[in-house]
Amino acid sequence: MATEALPAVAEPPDLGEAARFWGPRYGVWALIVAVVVAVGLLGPNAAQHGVVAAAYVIVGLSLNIILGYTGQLSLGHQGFVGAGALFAAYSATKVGLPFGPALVIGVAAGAAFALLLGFVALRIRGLYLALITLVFGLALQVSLFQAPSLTNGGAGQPANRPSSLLAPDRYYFVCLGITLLVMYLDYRLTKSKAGRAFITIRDDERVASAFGINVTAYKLLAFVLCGATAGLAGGLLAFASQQFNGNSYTFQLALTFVLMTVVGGVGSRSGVVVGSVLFALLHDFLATFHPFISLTHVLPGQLSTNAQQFGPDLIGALLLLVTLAVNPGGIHAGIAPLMSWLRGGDFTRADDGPASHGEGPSGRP
Amino acid sequence: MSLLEVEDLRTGYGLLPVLQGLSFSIDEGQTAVLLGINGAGKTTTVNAIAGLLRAWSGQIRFEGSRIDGLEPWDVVARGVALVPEGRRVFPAMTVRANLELGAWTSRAQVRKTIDEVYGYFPRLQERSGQLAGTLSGGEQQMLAIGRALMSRPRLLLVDEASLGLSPLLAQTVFQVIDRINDDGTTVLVVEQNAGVLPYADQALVMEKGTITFDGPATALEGSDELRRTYLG
Amino acid sequence: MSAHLVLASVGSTVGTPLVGGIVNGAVYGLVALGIVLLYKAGRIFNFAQAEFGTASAFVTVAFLQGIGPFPKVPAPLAVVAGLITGGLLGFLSERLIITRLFRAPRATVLVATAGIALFLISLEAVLLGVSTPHVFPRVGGQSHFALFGTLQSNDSYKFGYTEITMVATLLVVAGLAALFFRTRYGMAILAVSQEPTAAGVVGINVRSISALTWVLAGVLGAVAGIVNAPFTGALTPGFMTLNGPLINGFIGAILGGITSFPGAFVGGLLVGVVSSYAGQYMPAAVPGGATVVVAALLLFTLLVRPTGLLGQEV
Repeated sequence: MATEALPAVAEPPDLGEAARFWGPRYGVWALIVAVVVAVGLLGPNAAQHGVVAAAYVIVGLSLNIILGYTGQLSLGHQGFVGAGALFAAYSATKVGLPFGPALVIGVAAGAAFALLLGFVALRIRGLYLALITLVFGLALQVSLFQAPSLTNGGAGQPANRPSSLLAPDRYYFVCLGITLLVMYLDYRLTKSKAGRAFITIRDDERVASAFGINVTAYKLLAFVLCGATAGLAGGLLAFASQQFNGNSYTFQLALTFVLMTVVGGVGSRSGVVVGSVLFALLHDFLATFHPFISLTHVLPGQLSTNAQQFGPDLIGALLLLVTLAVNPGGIHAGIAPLMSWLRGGDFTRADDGPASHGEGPSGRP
Repeated sequence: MSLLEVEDLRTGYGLLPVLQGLSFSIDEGQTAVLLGINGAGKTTTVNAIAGLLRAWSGQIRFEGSRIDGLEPWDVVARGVALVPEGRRVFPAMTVRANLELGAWTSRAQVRKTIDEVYGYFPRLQERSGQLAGTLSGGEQQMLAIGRALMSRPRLLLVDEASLGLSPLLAQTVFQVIDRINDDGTTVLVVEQNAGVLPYADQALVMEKGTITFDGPATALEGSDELRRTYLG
Repeated sequence: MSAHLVLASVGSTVGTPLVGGIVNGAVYGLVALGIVLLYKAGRIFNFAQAEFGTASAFVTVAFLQGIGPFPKVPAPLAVVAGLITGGLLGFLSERLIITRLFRAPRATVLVATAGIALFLISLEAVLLGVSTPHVFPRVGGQSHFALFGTLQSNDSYKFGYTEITMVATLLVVAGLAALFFRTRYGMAILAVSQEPTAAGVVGINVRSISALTWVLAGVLGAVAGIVNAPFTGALTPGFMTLNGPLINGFIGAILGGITSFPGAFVGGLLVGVVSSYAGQYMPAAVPGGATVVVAALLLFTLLVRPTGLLGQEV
């Protein structure tokens, strides 16, 4: 049995000690569930934002596969997400496929483009590959996403939801379900043979191949999984706005995706989820946040209007820089004790990875 | 007064302690050699003196004033130069440019000092226009020592002077270090090779982060029993 | 039959894209130089490199035209103000962000530089808005060089803004080379990039040199932005980062081998010229043809010659 290999930490906790703490623990869990469900019940606006947040979470997990599990940075994720959105929209509207199969086409499109890039990744690594992904995403953005035959002559490809999913709250719960499914599959992945292979390859490719791990196959698998999830998120986004618009999938969006993953905490599922939700909602939250708006009224003339429009971006970027400067491990490092506690462990500060080891002197800049 | 005094020095990497209360001193004009097996803490000691590693506690005094806590570049300016482990020459620069960079803190008489270095190591003069990365291991060691001398130090620290060199080349390097000492520079050499002893005045043996022998090099050299005990 | 007419017909098909390509390529080359500088110094991909240029160009145009609280000053002073802005931004980025990420993974550092770029873009948007165009004046007017394709035999030669910016670019490149190979601070930057430990051990203040490197990178970014501004015309927030110079600068730097200054500049020029011809001659049915061709060039180079076209440490 595989469970025999599990380390001692997996043993049931000492009930006498732990039981006293399960009360508040269930309370916090219940609160989280309540908030997530409430988003779907607070009206179409909240549900629409919830859909975007759910899609961002999937994108974050997709980036986490490639960055956290294999150590490779993708700066072209708007390409995969956009491809998923485009082909889901196209197959729904032009081919007439129903919602589910159209989503599957989006997933397949994302996976196919990622596989292409995966072959390149077998030859090129590190920052060079990061740049290739950037240029790849950009090339998709300016060519494929603008192709007149695919985008309704550039006007945008409609992607109408079926009438059963037309109500935003219903669509939100579908997206929520899909997101939870992706999170579960991601969890299974890390516990699987493939998940361990990814980590070994990330740490040292030569060691991995010495252990008999098929580095080529697993690298391609990582890219395909990453592209498939990105494509899925794209499909959900296309149906969220009920149209594919090539101009939405820009380099800036790719940067936002990477930012939310890194700020969340690379390699940490919970951190990435929190980071993605934060980035998905921050802009609109601030844009409608009354204290923020009244604050911008203090500014003179045009500056006030500008601040209302672009202030949220400024605050988002500032939050990112402060997070990184104060804590290079990202949000994950901050919420790690909470997550550990919610899972039934101690409220102790977990090891926050290689990013913040020791405080030794530096002989380097 | 001793030129260098190390008193109850404790330091290490991350949370791992390496030096556990190290004390020794070196008098002006001496050649001291620091011997010990791998992992004894020899490199940690010279790195701490050179400012590459912060002291956790204890003191390092040079000419009577404390240098622990200083940055490496400030330590050099006080007159302590390190030939670091692994030589670490600037690979994509010429031999001459490496030497000129060595004179960063003492810009007077650069030409004269370079000539002195070429006097110690004629090979470097032959190779002066060559990129340092293309030199042989022995030549790189000469360059690293020469570069350290360019700051006109009063104390020269040489880490692993003979590592990776042929026995003949190692002897040559030891002889030059001896000449450098004769010309007035105090030297502390870190070594695993007991062949350095004939060139040294003072011998220090390290084990597990502390000094286990501190005495005249001749004592260690002359006594088979001591050599067996300390050098294995 | 005048050579002029032949020249003119060759000019309009070959020369016009060439001139446009060289002008853009010079900007990409300048961005690439800054990228290479920081890559050599600390193995950092600086995604804020081009944005240093946007911010500096805005400061320059504000001084040139006396926008808002900025007094109207003569062009050279405005340019100097822009250069100082670039240097200051580089310095602040290094002191406030980069030094704190000394032990962080490279992806985190890259994200931090991207964060600096996004911060600057939003700051520009908040301060300037996007509705009022800020036109950078073309000091010196049109010139022969820019009008290569429509050359007339009776035109007298005019030294216009194209020449001014090209000469300025050459001066900067020459100045950079002189700094690196003629001054001790240039040598120190190279020393820190090659062996940081040894650099500290020979007495170089590694921290100051790191800050100096970022100041230089900021100034280089500023030059790129100010050179690009008159060709861009109406400046929008983030025009250097979002409209090509950043990414094409990166591609140029990699084509040149990422550690070579001459390679970076030549690589930037190459990207400029190639994308200019591709934009001219790719069929209109393929949208974004120039980007696709440049992407293919990058991919081909990395697969066939991963060290870059001119890859060597300089």
